[in-house]
Amino acid sequence: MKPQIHEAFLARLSTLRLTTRGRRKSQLAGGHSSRRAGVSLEFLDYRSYLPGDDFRYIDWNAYGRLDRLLVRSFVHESDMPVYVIVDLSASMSIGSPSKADYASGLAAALAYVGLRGFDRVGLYLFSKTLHVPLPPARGLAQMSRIFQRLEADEPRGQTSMDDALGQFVASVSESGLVILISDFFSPGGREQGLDSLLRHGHEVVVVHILAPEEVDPKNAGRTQFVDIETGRNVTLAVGEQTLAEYRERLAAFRGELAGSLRRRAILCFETTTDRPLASLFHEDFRARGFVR
Amino acid sequence: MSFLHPAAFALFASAAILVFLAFLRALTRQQAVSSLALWAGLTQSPERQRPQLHRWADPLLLLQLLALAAMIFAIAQPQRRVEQSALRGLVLILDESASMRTEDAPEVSRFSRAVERARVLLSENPASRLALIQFSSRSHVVVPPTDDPAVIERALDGLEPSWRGDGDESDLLNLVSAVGGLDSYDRLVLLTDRTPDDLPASITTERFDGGRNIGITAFTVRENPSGPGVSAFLELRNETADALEPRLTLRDETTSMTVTLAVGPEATEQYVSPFSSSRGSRFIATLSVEDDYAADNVRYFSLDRPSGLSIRWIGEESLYLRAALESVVELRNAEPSDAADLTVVVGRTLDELPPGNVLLLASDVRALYRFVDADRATSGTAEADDPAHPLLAGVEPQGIYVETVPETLFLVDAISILRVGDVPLLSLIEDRGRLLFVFSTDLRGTNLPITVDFPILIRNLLSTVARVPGPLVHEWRAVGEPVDLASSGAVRSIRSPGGETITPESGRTLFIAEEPGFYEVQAARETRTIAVNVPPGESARSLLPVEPVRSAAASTSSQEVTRRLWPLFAWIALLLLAVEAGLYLRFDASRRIG
Repeated sequence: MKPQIHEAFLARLSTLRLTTRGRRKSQLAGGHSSRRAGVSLEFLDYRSYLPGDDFRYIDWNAYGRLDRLLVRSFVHESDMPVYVIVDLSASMSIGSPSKADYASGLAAALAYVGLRGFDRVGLYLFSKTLHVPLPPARGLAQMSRIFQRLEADEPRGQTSMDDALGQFVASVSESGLVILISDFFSPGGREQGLDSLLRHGHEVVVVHILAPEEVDPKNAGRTQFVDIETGRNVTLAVGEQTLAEYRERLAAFRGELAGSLRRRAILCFETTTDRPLASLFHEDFRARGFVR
Repeated sequence: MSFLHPAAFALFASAAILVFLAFLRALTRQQAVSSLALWAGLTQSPERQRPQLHRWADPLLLLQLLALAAMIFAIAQPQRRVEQSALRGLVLILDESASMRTEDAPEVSRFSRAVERARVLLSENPASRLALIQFSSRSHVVVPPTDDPAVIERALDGLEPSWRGDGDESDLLNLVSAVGGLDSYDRLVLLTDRTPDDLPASITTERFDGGRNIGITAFTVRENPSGPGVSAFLELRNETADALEPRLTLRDETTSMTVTLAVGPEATEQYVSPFSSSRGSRFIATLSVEDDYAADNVRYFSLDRPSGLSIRWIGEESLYLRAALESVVELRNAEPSDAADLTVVVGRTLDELPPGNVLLLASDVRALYRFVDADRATSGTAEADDPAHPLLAGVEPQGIYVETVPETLFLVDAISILRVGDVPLLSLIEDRGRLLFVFSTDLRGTNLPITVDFPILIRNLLSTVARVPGPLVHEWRAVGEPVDLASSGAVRSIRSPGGETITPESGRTLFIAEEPGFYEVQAARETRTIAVNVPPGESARSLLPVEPVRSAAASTSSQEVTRRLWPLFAWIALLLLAVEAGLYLRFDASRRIG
């Protein structure tokens, strides 16, 4: 795969940060607020002074007004591991540019945003099973490794999202932000995998990618459709009625996926490969608070 | 256009296979999709279930058919006959030596004919590579290799024959190598009036000769050893079949003489012609004759002669002696401040001698000799003490009668030349590098002044004391030969026969004369006159055997050649297939899902 991403685009991403909706539990200081009080600039609450508290956090103004020693507490900012999971099954090779190329560019861009925000970012590619993972790490050197891993792999094999996500959950010990990029054509199902992610405390964001030809096919005539993952085929005399039915079936598929994610409170973005990544970042991701 | 294998056109039937395959391909197209679940079970369109071509105007099919047509044309091997010159290259070599000035036809020189012939060759033989060389003792490339005949035409317009001699064949071959070599040209034509030696067979020679010629092939001038003036030595070559009696005119700066000579048919004759009245140093021999090569009818010669003799008289001037001296050399009186070439003392007794050579007539010098006992003066016929002495060359002493001669007592060594009895009449004393001629009596006391021996004796005397005749110094060059300038010191200027003044570059030691006539070299130490002549070898032309002119045009006419066109069609087919493949790949990618 060749991530479709340019330096100018990365420069525009350098001011963005990934955000999470919940407080993180990590022990390490980072850019994401956690549920623990700690040291940061974000004020959390007052509490009574206890012996051993740091004198620097005593609010002397409050002492002057109330004649009580009160200590200010702040939101503890902890780091958040970001797991970028990309579907690399054979179905991702459809389209021009292919969904896999588009997904690799998107994964690289999200990883860059995370690393610029001092997050630890890992990359996990999967098809039927999980490919060799790149564990989370901090620093721009990780960016280079992510690029190498993306360029070295090619879409292949069938999709089994449940199995792959199960392997992922088993392989990581720390919950974090999971960004799942896929076309979600997974014959074996996906709900178990998503539930497994949520059970392990991951915050999940989904990016659903389709090719423009899949959204709005224009071919007509007698066509043999071959499933690129299974090799099975079906021959159809395609006409307007056929295409209309196809669009209805695709809309149902997308609606079912969106409903499934919504029920699990998973943030979902949908895009096609002809849409610029910059548009996706600045119109969808920022609008819906995924990045800020 | 014709075809070697027209049967190949039957392959056009295979176009039906292409159309059929295209039809089959259009029946069912294959398309990869991400998931068959979206397509399986969809309602099919009845109107699409009938077999049909997707698009009749499928550009890929059209390209395939065009490529097939091009391949079939290539297999049929089309060919076209085109008219094309056989020449890849043509080199024109023009002899520019002086003999090419010969006007064999009225007012038309061989060189003009050669130039016209060159133009004809140029027009009849269109070639991709052309060059023009002039051939003489200084052969040179006039036009280096070019593909533009107009360049050669313009160069031919400006060509003139030179006055130089024949060229060297090896020089010519070097020049041919310089313009690409023999192998680079199909035809090399030498237009000349001679038969060159040892030229490669690939160089065709076309001869221009014939005509009548008689000319001076050698001309030189020497001092007359036995009298005044000079003698001219000439060689005449008559190349005609007739005996001729041309008139020869010899002239120097001031005087001229004409003689009539006889030359047999096809003969070479040598002549010696006295030119006793000449006192000049520049000689021109002109042959008055009607022939076709005028360049050898005039020859030039330069002889370094003394310009005169300075003389000083002491005592009464002898008119006889002056007349005798002037018959030999131009006299001028020496300036009082200058030493004279010869001092003549008449009837004086000197205590001290003047500087330089002295002729003493009836005069004595006390320190050297004196006349004694005048009463014993002797008379009679003169006799030679040494008849072989140079002073007596051509002189017959017995014809000299002396009325009276005194006896002379010499105090120094003296050589007696003439005597009367035992009394010296003419004696010679060598005194510290100079000569003293002692004539013991007055000329009026002898018959010497009225004898034929007197001017001879005086000339011999002057030959001894002065440079008469002078050393044999002459300057003779042929056109194209180098002249050494270094021997004259720094050369200021050179004046050509046409009057043009040439200033040579500083340090230049050689000068090449390019036209016949007298060149005057003005140098620091002297002024030299150099006679330049047309090379004598240029006169020997018309008697050479005439070879038949080989026609270059006959073998270089244009011819039809067959040009095969199958590679062109093969390339077209490949190009069309490449375009078709490119379009297919592009369309194929877009058709996967669309």
